[in-house]
Amino acid sequence: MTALLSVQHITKVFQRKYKALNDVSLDVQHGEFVALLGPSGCGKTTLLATLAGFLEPDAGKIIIDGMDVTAVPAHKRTLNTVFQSYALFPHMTVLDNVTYGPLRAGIKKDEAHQRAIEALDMVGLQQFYKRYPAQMSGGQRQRTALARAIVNRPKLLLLDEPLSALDLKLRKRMQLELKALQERLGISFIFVTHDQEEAMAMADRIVVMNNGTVEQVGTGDEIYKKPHSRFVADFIGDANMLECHEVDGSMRLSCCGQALGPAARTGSRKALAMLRPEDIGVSRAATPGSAGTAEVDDIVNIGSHATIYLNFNGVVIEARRLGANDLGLQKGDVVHIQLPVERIHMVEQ
Amino acid sequence: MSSRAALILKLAAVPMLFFTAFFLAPLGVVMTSSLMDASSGALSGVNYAKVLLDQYHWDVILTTFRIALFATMFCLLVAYPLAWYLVRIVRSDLWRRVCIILVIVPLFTSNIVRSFGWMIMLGRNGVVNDFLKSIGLVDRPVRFLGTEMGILIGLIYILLPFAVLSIGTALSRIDRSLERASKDLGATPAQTFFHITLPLSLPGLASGAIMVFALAASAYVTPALLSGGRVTVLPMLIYQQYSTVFNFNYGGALSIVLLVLTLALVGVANYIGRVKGER
Amino acid sequence: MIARFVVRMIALMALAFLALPLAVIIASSMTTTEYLSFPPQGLTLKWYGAVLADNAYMMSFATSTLLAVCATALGVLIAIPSALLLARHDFPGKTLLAAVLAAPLVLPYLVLGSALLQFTGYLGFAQTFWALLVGHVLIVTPFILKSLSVVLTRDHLDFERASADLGASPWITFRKITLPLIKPGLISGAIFGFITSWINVELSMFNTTAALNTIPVQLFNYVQYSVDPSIAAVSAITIFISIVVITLVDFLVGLDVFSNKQQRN
Repeated sequence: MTALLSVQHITKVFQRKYKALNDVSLDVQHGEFVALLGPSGCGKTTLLATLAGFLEPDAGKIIIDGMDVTAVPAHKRTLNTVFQSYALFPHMTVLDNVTYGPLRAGIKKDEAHQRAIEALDMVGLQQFYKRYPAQMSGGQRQRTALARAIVNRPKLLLLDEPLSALDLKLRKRMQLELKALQERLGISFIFVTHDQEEAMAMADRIVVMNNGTVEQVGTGDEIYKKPHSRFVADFIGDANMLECHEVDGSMRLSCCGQALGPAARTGSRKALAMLRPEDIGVSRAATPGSAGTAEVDDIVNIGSHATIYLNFNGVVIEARRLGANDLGLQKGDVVHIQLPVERIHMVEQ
Repeated sequence: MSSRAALILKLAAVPMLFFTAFFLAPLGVVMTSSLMDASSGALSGVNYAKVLLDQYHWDVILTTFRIALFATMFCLLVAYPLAWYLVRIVRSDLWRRVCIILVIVPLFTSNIVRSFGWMIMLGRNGVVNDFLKSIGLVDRPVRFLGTEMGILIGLIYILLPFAVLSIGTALSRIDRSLERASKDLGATPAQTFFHITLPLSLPGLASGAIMVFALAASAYVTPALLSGGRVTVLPMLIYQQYSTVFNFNYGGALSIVLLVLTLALVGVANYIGRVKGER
Repeated sequence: MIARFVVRMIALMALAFLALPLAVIIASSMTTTEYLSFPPQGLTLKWYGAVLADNAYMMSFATSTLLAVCATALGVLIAIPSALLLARHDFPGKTLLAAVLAAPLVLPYLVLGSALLQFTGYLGFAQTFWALLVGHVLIVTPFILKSLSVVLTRDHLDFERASADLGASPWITFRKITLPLIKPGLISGAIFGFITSWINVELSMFNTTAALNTIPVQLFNYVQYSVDPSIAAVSAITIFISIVVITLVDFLVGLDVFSNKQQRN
């Protein structure tokens, strides 16, 4: 099955020096929910603007449904955008905002009206037809922007950090609603965010971007367990990056000498062993697989889990335990730590 | 008295005193004079009766309004494109700066100098008539000086910078993401302009138009110089009363009429600009 | 893209329209003929020489300049406390005070001038330098006030509070924090106020005499009787001054008239 959207080697340079997008390629399938994830300035919003047609790429092609739309202006492209600021027309009611698209496409007033009401019902704004944007809350405005974008039944919807202005609880609720909406409509979503939890929660696949390039594409699980680069490992979740060196043909952790097994050979001398904090074992008593003892530097307890900062032979290790500080650890305590080889993932430096 | 109240009074003292003594008091004097009968010195509305009931005055007031209205309309027709050009089309910062200087320099050149320029240009053998003859539009020179048309041209010239700055500010405040949203929803550039940009610029445009109208209605120098004694507007009547006839009572009534009119227009302009602009 | 082309054409023609009368005056001022002629026949600077040698013109230049300088100085002294007051505090009657202080900007100068004539007449100092000065201070102050109020934003108030928090007295805060920060607004407001005073006709014309005259009013008087190239020369000089001053403001402070910055006050 051909992809709905094929982005091929897009490069965008600003003011002749700054490469906002550097040879970016990716595919989006029909009905897929893709998250563009990365820190500020990584190029995700620029990529979105290029897809929507507000920016012209300096190199590369954009193919939608088999058609090359690279040179097609924004108002002729059959995708829609939900803007970060919502961009609701302040001088029009909610209903007028949503009928705007269909009317411009030449659809008769009654039919446009009908479609708008359907879209507004789908996002739960039945009572708000006659309201003006200034009279609504942030969440309501967000839904209006959504309704306005889906009323045209585009095959592809671009969302530029649509939930960033909402408070935490509302945001989590909207995440579920958006996901449900997307599945119901069967539209492909490209969702830009800098919040990795949000990306992991909603997306079928995540595209991690940094400095104008794509670092890795994969499901949330793949990216979390097998990051391709140090950046991805650090950006998604927390990671302990441990130095290794080669001794007699096998790789060993530099902090304690523990062997890493044959799977750890990456062929590169400069690799790091990545361990997620929740994979590190901490115990008061020694166990057969212990890598050694460490001193507790600090404990941060946020209720759902406790993060324990350990000093292991001069290296700072972050461990995590579900629930509270169930071992009753305090600063200065000495514990045994386990660094399970099977949970270690090697990452190029 | 609290120290804060004392501080407020300290800061407000000089400005309040100065403006009360030399702004409010003189206006108050004008107001009282307008309510006094010139001959008897008693309180009376005779001056206002003269202004509002005399046919001659209605002619003058109507002429003033008519000229001001046309001046405002033509001004806006030219100012909107120029403002659009400066805000949306010009790419070079340097050229935009040059253009803005070109717009502001006339604004800060005296009315008399600007009107004088038109006196030179609108004469029988002036540039305008030479141009019209050279392109074959007319055979004999057209009389501009001493007509409403001449005053109109002069006023449009005086008002244009105000209008450009006013409209330009309104245009530059429009949220561009709204236009992008419109395009995203499938509207052509023309549709985006008519449905989004123009309506959003309307409050600023209306408020600017009202201010320009008020300026046109209260203009003295330009009509005085370009009227050739054949056209009279309200400000010219006022000047006559104070400088030749010395009837401060009647002049006062005329002044108050002009003042009230201007205040009303300014009030409306502020209302539109503030309230509607933030809907 | 026909629309863009048409807009461009109108804009460029409008710009030419704006420049034309000024160019015509400058050109006419250099004609060798004894009467006003455009296009000028021959080029000479003799009319400028005549103007500079003319006592009446020179006196008026001096008066105009002195008046503008004094009015601007006094305007600054009145506008600064007013601006600080309106920016920092809320008090009953604040809107009224702000309206009164801004009013001379929007009311017809004609009415202000005639009112001043009558009023100063009653007080016995009509048509003197002081009467003129008072009127000019009235029209200059709102310009400076408006410029200052743009700079005295909420953020600025935080600076002042921080300064007080660190132990500085109100006077020190004013000298070391407020004054340096409001300088751009102060300069541009003062310059625009200065020019407004210099070019003013409608307010001044009631309050001048043959002996005490400003350039614009003198031009206004002359132009109604005899029109010769020396008038064009004086006018051209005022145009040059305006060009120099406006360009100066653009370099110093920037004429950011079409910026998108919202004022948060």
